[in-house]
Amino acid sequence: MSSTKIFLKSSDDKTFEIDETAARASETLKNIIDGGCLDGVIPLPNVSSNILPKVIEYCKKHGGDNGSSKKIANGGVDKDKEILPDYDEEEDKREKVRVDELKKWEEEYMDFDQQVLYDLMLAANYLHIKGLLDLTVEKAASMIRGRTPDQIRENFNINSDFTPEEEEEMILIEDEWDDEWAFD
Amino acid sequence: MKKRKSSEPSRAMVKPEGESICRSSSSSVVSSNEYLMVNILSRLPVKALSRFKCVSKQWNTLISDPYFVKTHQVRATQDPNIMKLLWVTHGGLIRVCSIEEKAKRNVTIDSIRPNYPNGFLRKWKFINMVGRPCNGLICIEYLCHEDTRLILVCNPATRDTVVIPNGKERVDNNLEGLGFCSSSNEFKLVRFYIIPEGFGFELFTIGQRETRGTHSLQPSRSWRHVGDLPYKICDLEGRFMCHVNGKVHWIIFPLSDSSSEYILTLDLELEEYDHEMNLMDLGGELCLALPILDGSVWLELWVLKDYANSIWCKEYQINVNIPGYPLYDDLKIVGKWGRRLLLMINNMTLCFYDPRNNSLELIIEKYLGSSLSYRVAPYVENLVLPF
Repeated sequence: MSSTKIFLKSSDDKTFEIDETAARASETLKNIIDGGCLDGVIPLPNVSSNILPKVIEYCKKHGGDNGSSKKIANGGVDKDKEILPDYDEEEDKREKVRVDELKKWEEEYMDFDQQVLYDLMLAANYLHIKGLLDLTVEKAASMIRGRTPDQIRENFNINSDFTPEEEEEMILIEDEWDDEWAFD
Repeated sequence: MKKRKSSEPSRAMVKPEGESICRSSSSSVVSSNEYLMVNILSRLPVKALSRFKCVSKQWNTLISDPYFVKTHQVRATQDPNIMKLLWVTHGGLIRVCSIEEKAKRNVTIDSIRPNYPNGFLRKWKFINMVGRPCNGLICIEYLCHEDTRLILVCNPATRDTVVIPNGKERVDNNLEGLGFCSSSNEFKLVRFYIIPEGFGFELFTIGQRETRGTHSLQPSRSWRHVGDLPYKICDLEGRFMCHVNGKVHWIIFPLSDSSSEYILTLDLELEEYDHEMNLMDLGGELCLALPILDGSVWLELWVLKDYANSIWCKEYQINVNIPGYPLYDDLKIVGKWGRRLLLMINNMTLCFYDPRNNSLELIIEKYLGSSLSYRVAPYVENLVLPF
């Protein structure tokens, strides 16, 4: 496996090292590498030095995706299809272990506060790292799922631009949703 | 979209020094990035989205946008955790049961009252769901004591409801089914009604194209008669109606012969129907006959060879040219005669088909009683007592 090193420079001028194979997890970096425009250090003006190591950590885990360890990349979905005609129980077990291990890793990896979450999401979006983007977006969605509109405004720094009348009307509609009942 | 992706984050990163500035800015940058917001919000349940419409005008516009509605629908369809179970009570409430598979299995049942017109439920009784939900919409029938009947289409998640006007005088004994045509992005309600020679069918289009901004359901057109069907429909309650791949399917049988059942396929884009296969007993084996009609093959017969493993084998492919009988004529398999098959063409002509040399032998040509429109079946005599 190639171990060419790539150097990434954060927005605050700090340089980080990453293997080329790991860097290929990012579409953006992959295009730069394949485009042959590698001129020593790749500047990333949109990613700060407190987020970049986090991004690199993700890429290291998933960098080999396109090559050797494809199984881990897709959560085993593609692999399942491949082994269907010739079902191998041992292989299936190993697959399950791999998926469980990856889930556990993701859980630990994603243990950070909301501030980091949105920064990481923006970095994943900028660098086109689909897996990381999905992970952060899914977490953001599960965080805001149960919130009230007020909490959402606070969270995203939004001012309501509805007139008081409009707002009252919207709240009326909102209240209707609460006359339902649920039981276990 | 791409331009925005690369330009907007840079705005936030201009001054990364102050912690507090950074704290508020990254979430604001995310919230002003439409691509990311669509990605986040499209993972939320409808209930949360309805609540978030009053966050701001921008959020209201985004959540109501047809593109967002579509994105959300596609994602929701792929997520097994969003799958729910739905039924309609006779009292006119919709019950929606969620089965969550996360840490612990958790079952909740919501009760939803569609946005009925005032006094609606006082008049209408005997309420049933018609067919199955189709792309998030359901079709409900309402009957009242005077035997009048009304059809309503509802989105249980948003409670948006539209009353479908009745067609002509035909209101009783109809069979409806809801389908979706993806090429035109329209829902089409199909209605079969009894006519002396079978069933007539008509379509009612529920268009989403004309309703920009608010995606409430508005009827855009009226009933259109599409054709008549020389068949009977087996399942008048529509329980087995099935909407798959932009086509609606029912089990039917020809007027002349209720012993062979076909699957009727109604293509919602072309608005044409076809019957696809029939089920039969072929010499003691379960057999599916598929009309192929591709110009060279007439029928394929698939036989269930192995019940335990559900293995179907293609046993026959009937591709003979019969002078005077175009391929599109009605061909029925009457039964198996030794190694040969007895065929009936147009309910008038009986012939043997020999698969070994792919030949036909006429037995009765153009039967004098004008047609063998009675049920024709193989029969073996014996001494068994009927009592």
